[in-house]
Amino acid sequence: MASLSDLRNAVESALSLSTADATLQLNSNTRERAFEAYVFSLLVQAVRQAGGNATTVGIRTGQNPSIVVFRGGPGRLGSQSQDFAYARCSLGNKEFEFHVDVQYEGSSGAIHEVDVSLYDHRTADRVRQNQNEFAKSSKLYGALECKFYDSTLGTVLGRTFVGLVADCGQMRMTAFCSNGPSQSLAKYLQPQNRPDHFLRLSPLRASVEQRFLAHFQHELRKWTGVG
Amino acid sequence: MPNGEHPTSEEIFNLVIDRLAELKATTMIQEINNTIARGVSTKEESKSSQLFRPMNSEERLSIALEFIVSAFGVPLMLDRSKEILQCSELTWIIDSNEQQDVIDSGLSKSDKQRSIHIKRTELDEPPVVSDSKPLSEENPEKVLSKLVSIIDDLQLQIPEVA
Repeated sequence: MASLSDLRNAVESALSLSTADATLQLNSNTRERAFEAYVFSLLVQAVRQAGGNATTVGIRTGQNPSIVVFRGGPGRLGSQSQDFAYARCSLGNKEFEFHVDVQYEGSSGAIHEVDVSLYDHRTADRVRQNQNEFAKSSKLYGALECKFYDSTLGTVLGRTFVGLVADCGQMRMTAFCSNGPSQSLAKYLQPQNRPDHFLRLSPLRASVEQRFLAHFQHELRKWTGVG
Repeated sequence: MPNGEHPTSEEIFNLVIDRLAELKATTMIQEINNTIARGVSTKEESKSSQLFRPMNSEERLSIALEFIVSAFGVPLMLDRSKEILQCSELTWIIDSNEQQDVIDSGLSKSDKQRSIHIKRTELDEPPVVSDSKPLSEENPEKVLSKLVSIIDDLQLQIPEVA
């Protein structure tokens, strides 16, 4: 059993790391974006582990860009104003894509920003022909809400996400992800008809990361009919 | 530290805040203090009311540690992403087709580009090293994993912030 003395020593070691100065001063935008990129990457890994193909594509430069560009804020799926990246995937008989920070038009006509989304590849190709068009949520198969830990992590965010999901038709995969803990949020998302939740998702917690990967491998395989 | 061999939660919390101040992490100190000031929710939210109480010393320490561990996770998330996406760099750029200013409203387009670049630089440039403190020679992921494992082992309760 660890003691508070062990904790003090571990805290001292962490705060003495040469990277501590810079890391502890990162602003909230940077943290949120890093977490979204991390979740996006884990989904790419889940596709590969499920036996599928996943390739990063820059909308202007094509496959495997050495610099992966993400949106600094919500935008349209087809925007080519920058070399925005997405992941093109295939598994079983399905072709689909993962995107970061794309806005979708819900069934009510309202525009929703989805942190990490899973969208039909053919429909996305059509949307890319018209950059100003909002992608319709009817071909949105998955939505993940990503929240970097801060004091606002709670049921309010869960309710907002449930509202978004309700306006986006019948999605196959929905999940609320955070690197922080929240008992009330976990409780709120517990019922079966609510989005899945992955709290404390971080490279520092291998068990949660593995649970996330296993869950999405399973869901992707089930959806694509891969045994 | 008044009690070197058996520190209390309060003493470790104070140590954390002092070290953050030395590292000039003023925004994080403010975030921690603001969170602590909100107190702990003592029952489920209802439409009419929400009860709360002040945090005790163990809860204050848990909050401070959660902020630190979360922040230290960021470079690891970026490293993991680069490894999976097989790229040399990740960057974030505002969609210039969009009319809305999401990050820095009121900035010109060139300012926006610059602000994003600064954020990227914060992540990628080697940090300034303080001469006054001995730096840990250990692998950051190992050091942080050990910290997380001790926090988990101690079962410090993360309070439900009001």
